[in-house]
Amino acid sequence: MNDRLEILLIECLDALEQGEPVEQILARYPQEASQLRPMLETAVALSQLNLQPSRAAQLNAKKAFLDYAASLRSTPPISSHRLGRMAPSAGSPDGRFCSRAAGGRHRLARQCLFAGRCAVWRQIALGRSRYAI
Amino acid sequence: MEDELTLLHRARSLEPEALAEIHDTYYVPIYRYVVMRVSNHETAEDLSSEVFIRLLQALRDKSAPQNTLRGWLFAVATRVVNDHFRQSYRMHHTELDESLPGSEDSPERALEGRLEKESLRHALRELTEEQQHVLALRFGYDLPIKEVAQTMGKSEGSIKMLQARAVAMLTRKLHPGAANT
Repeated sequence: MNDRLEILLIECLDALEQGEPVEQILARYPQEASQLRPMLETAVALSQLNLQPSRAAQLNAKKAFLDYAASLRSTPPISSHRLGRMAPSAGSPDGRFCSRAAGGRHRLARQCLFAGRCAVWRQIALGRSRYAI
Repeated sequence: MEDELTLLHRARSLEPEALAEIHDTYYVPIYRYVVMRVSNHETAEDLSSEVFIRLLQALRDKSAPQNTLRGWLFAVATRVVNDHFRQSYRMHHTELDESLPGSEDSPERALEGRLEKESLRHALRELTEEQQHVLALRFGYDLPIKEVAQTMGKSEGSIKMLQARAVAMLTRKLHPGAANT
């Protein structure tokens, strides 16, 4: 992409952000319209990607978040040293707590993404029976 | 939403209402940023939850943000995503893309739309990390250029240029035959 086209694309993306329709923007640059069109269509496609979480995921995440906050209010802070010693290795059964946090749909539970964090969930489990598996 | 400083002050005491408000306000933008980077809903759900767990730990450890929650959460989301990629590489784990929620279109149109989105998300993964970052901030986290610039420590002009190059590169990946884009 040459410098001139790059500058035009920047102008077009600005206009797109202001809510101007693609056709109206391209009409200002008839000579470059054929080159600009696919790029503007890409930008439009990006803005139309459906990136919303499911309502269930949102509610599960909020519940896990507030439950964890409640556990922090009722327990003294754990030192990072202790957390480090307790951290399980990847693939440990503690991955199941991550599943709980993600609403029980943790596809990668056996390869726990939060290996270094599962100790936190273990603390919750130890302190609160309703988290027990 | 109430003033962010007041909200932060209340959150430091782990006040449930304040925490709920923070979650309600920021979960979706964080999720949108993350899912645009990882292209997988379940992983994005897990990583977004991790961002909020780290917020609680920071509040408890008194290392929470002092002024701006939005910027702090974004920075943590970036680290969480990067940690995830590092860990995935170590495990030789390959992310499997999944279909995004469908629309109300006809089956044919829905399939076509899904394939287009799949191509777009595959192409996104082929951009440089910085380009992915800018596009995820702009189109996922929905930050205006000015805030992206502040977040990334660059000028607004640089961000606009970075965004334009990312869009051009993405277009080339999607349409290899497109002339001179």
